[in-house]
Amino acid sequence: MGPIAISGVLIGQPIEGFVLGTVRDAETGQFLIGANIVVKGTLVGAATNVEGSFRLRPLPPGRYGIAASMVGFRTETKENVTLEAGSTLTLEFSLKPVAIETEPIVVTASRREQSLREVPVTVSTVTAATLAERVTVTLDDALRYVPGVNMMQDQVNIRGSTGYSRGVGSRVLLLLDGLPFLTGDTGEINWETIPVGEIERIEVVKGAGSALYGSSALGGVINIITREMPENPDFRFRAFSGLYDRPRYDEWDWSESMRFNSSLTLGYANSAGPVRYMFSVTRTVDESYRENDVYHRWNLFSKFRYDLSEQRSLSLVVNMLDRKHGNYFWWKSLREATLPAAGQRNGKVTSRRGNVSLEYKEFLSERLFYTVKGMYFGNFWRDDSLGTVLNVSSSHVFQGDVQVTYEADPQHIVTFGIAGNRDEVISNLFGNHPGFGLAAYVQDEFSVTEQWKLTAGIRYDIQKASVLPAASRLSPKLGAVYLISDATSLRGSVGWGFRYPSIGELYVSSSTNVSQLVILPNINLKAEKSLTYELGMTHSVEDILVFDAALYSNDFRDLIEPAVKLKNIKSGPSDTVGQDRAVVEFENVTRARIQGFEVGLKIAWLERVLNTDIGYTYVWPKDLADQSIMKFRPRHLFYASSALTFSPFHFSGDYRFISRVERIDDNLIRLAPIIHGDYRVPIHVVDARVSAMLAGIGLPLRVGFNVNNLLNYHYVELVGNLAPVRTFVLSIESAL
Amino acid sequence: MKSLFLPVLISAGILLSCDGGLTLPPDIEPGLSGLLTVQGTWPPQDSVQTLWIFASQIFPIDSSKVASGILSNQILLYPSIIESLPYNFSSQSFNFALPPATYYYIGVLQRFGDNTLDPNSYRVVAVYSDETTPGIPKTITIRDYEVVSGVNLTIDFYNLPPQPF
Repeated sequence: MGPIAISGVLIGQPIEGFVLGTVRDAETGQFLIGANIVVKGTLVGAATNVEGSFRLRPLPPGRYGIAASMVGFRTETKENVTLEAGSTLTLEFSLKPVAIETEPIVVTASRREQSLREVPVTVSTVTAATLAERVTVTLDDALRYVPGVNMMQDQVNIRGSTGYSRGVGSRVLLLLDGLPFLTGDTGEINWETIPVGEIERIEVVKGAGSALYGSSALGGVINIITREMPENPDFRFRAFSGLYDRPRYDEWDWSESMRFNSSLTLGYANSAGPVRYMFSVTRTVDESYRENDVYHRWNLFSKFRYDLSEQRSLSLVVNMLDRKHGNYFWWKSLREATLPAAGQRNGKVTSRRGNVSLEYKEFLSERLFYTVKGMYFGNFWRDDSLGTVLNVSSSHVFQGDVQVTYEADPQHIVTFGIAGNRDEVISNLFGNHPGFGLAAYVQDEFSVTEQWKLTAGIRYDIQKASVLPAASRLSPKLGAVYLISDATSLRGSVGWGFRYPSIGELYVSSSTNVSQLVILPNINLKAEKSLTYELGMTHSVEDILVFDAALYSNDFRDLIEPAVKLKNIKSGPSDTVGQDRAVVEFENVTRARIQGFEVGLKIAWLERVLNTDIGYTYVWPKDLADQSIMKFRPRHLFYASSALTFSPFHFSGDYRFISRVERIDDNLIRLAPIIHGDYRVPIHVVDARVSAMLAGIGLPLRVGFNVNNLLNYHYVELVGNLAPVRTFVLSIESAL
Repeated sequence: MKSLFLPVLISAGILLSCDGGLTLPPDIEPGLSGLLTVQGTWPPQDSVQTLWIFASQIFPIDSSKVASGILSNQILLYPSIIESLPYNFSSQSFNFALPPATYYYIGVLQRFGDNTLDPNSYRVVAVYSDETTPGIPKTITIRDYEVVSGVNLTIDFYNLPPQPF
């Protein structure tokens, strides 16, 4: 049942009414903190506080459908609730726990909150609870178990989009609370900048997303949503210590001492009148299982929210990272797979990164709100060898976004806005270059009937890098959802994506200190383009089974690849002969088509005590230029997770299979050179863990024991890089 | 308990299907291998005092660099500095162990004079080169655990390649 139309909201201004209430767990009777309350068909919503109560912004009189939802509970909707002018309506929700979440709320697909089953593209989510349970250290670890996603060390692939490009440029756009979060110089993702403990949820949108988010959203969008702050004092801590097991071969056991990784997070949150705030500090040290791969890291995170009124709020996030680590590029050889190659033993990298984000949000009515967002994202890094500084780079990215969301009538929700960025790169590796961009976007979500929902959107971007001519792109998208029943829905979408080359790809110029390769600039690079089609369906059986399937096809043009080759280099005008050198040069070389399908199944077994989550993705990445499989793309991805609860214990495990990468860059192996760089195997990784809540013995704590890579399986994600060996992790955290 | 059967079966299948992953590759001593062939006839035995295959990281080379190159292992000799290839063979295969490096000059060296310290007692009788550029030394890079095979050398005592000095 949809919302009842409310007349005269913007004209006549009737006296408004108030809706407040509580949300409880139907089985235990306990109040639920952080449950979402939404007025269906409007943009109005709220979350329950630490007492489990909520209060919506004043609403005009009328009849409404009001829904309460929370992760792990079945959504409850109170239909045809009548609100009289000037009255106060109290609602009490009792949510039944569910084994499987069938309709989670997502925000990334349409830049607003909506139920997953109304989204025309495939979206996967990772919750804070999952991150905590896996004792996730960095964000990329969390993504290793998302269907259709695989990591090539720290480069993320969604359905084979990225491959491997030496850490420069990303074909997946990372957002932090809705704003792009790519470094200004290399246009890459730095996973460690965002502290995992401050994440509420990760949303992974698969397929091109430039119609809403612009450059880099070729293969997909990952949105990191930081957590909301409670009203009452909340002291949090989280600590873990991990021990690396010995590898299978004595030749790889390079260290006489055991190697540890450990971390401690302390955080505090509270409110003072209309201001909510939180701070956290995290110290992480990883000695690593490989020589010169150690890192020391500090993360500082703070967030403030000032509720100016019930309609207006202002949020500020200040986030900083300080990190020192060894510069490990690849192994000495597979016989010495835990030692770095010659010339890499003494390399160190120091980096400081941080962002300041400001967001102002105002509801002008229950059908109209706007947000103004701004962010400064600064990056500095320096690498050295035995104290001799080799490369230094700093980048400053300023960006802003003004977005308006308007429910024009019960059938249309229109989102439009403008965005802009101003970049500055200062580097001995990339040179000193400015950049700027401007964009405008609009999207209409049209409910044709109760069953049919259409989405159409378009975005225009213009981008200029340094003295190069400005380039512009138009990125449309279309989507449709057909709700066959409460249990079954079909979806289809077509979307365009693009990525401007980063300053790094355009201007990098270096004789590297780690190999024989010389890196050359190429200012003639064009933007990469993609076109994504997807057809999908979802079917659920109560809360015990959810089945999802999707067919997809991505066409790419002008893909920028780092070509490793021999090239005749002349030292100057007087050098007429030159010398053949092994070089890396970024080029628009590839036309490609990546097609495949993805299936996912969530099942609650044994009277919902055992939950299993399975995902399989088939990827056929075809290089149309030479009619062969694309480099650095696996063809099969399979994930399975199971969790079993015997209160107060929780047992869970994951299995990850990634088929052997069929094609790599042979020139890189030969010319870098990387000894035994062509050795690789299929990936089989099993993680297992048990945790216990100690509330039963009066301690507000959760303790856990994880064994990662239980089988001590040896593999590489990236050529010449042995992946982590078996690790035993003991963790403890507050669980108030 | 029937419903436990499938997850247990899947888990067991996964565990049994996994081997240990990457294994240690064989510990191969790096170097060159190939066939050494003699074209034509051999000179008298007393003029072939010693015959070596050499691999030099130095090129161009002059007589002043030979001794220091040998002492610093930048010029390496096969079978060894104190051993010679046999006299009067028509062809034989060789495996020349070498440290990983780039070798710019590979060939066969003959000592025909009695004075071992006199550069004029030596001459190059074969050079590893491309067929299209005979006599021009061809570079080979040897990496760890890698044997570069197919390094075929042809000696013609009566048709010598260009001499280095």
